[in-house]
Amino acid sequence: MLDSDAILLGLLLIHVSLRKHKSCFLCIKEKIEPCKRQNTSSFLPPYFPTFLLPFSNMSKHLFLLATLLPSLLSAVKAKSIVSTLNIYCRASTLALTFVLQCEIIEDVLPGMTELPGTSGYEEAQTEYHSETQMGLTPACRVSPKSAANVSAIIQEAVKNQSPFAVHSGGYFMSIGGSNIGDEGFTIDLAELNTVEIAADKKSVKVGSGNRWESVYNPLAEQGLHAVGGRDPGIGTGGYLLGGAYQAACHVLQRIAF
Amino acid sequence: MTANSKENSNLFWALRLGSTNYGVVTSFTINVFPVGGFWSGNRVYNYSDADALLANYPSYVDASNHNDTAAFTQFVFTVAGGEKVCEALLAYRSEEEEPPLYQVLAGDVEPVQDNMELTDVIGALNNIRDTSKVRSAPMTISVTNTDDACK
Repeated sequence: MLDSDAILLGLLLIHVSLRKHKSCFLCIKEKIEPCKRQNTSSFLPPYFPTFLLPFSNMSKHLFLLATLLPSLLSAVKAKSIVSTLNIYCRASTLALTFVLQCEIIEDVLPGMTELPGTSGYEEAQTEYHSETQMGLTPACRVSPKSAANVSAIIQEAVKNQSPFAVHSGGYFMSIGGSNIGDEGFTIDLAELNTVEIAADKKSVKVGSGNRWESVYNPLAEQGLHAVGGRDPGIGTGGYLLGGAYQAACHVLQRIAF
Repeated sequence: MTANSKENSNLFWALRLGSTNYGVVTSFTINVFPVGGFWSGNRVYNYSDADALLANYPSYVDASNHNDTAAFTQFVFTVAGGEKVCEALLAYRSEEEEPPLYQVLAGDVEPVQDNMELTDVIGALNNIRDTSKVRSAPMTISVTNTDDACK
C-alpha cells in the first residue's frame, strides 16, 4: 500500500472537515519540504493512499479515526517518523493530532490512557467541582502511576506540542484549570496516591493525586493532622499550589517532581 | 527533582506563591501535628440576627480573645424552609463546649437550630464540609461608584 520510493514520502493524507467546516490536511511525511495547504485534488499524486473523512461532529470523528489508527500508527512507527509528524492547518486538525498523541502515549505507557466513551474516562470526567470544567472533553485522559510516568508523558507532549491539563482534585472553578477540550489531553494524577507518614510523626509525604480525606484519615488513626483543605474532598495538589488559603506558605516542607 | 527551602529554593518559592507552569508536582511533604477532640457543627440563626452576629465578629477575631486553640467559622446566608437564615459552620479545636471565644461571637443571639457536638477531627471536618457536589458559578456583580470611593 505504501510506496517507500516515492519522491514525496507522504504516508497518509486525511482530509478533515471539522465543525467549522474548514478543509485541511494532516500530512505525515519523512522529510523533504513541508506540506503546503492546498485543495485535495491538486495536492494528491495519483498513487497516494487517501482517506477522505467528512466529519460532522467530534464523536463521529473520533470513532472513525479509531478504526484507522492502528494501521496508521504501525506505518508511522515502522518508518520511525513520529517525531517528524508535520501538522499544518493547525487550528482545524488539532483534534486529530491529539488522538494520535493519545495513541502514542498509550504505546509508551500501556494501560494508562482512557478515550472518550470508556467508563474510566466518563467517570473521571465527573470528578470536577465546576460544571464548566466537566463540560470540557479532552481527547483522552492519562493516569500516570509514578513521577517517571509523568515525565515520559510530558516529554511526548513537548515533542508533539500537545496542550494538556493536569487534574489533582478538580476543585478549581475556571475553565481550563484542570481539564481541557479536545485540542489536548488531561493528565489525571489520581494514581499518585501515596501517603507516607514519617517515622518521627512530624511530616507526611503526600502524592499529589490524593484528596485530603485520604491524608486525614490515616493521620487521624495516629492522633495526627495536617493543615489542608477544609473540605476533605478537595485535592491536595491544587490546594497546596495556590488554592484556598495559601496554605503552602506555612506548611509545605518539600516538593518532588 | 526535589524543591525545598535549601534545594532548588527558587522553584520552591515560586510554587508556594501559587503561580503556574513550572512543572507537574508529583508529591508534597508537609508538616503534621498531634490533634485531639473538637467541638463542631452548625448553628442556624434568624436572618434578622445576622447584623448582630457580624457586629460581634471584629471582637471574635481579635487576638486578645484567642488562645492557641484554632477555631473555624463560616457564615452562610441561605434559604431554609422558605425563610432567609444565617447558618454558622463552627469548629473549635478543643473538647470544650461553649468556649468563651464563641460566646464573644454569639453575644445575646440565640440560634433557632443548634447542631453542635463533641467529636474528633474527622467528625469535625465532615460537619463543616461543603456538601454541594457540583457547582456552577453564575454571578452578577453590581458596582455602584460613589464620590466616597474615589476620595
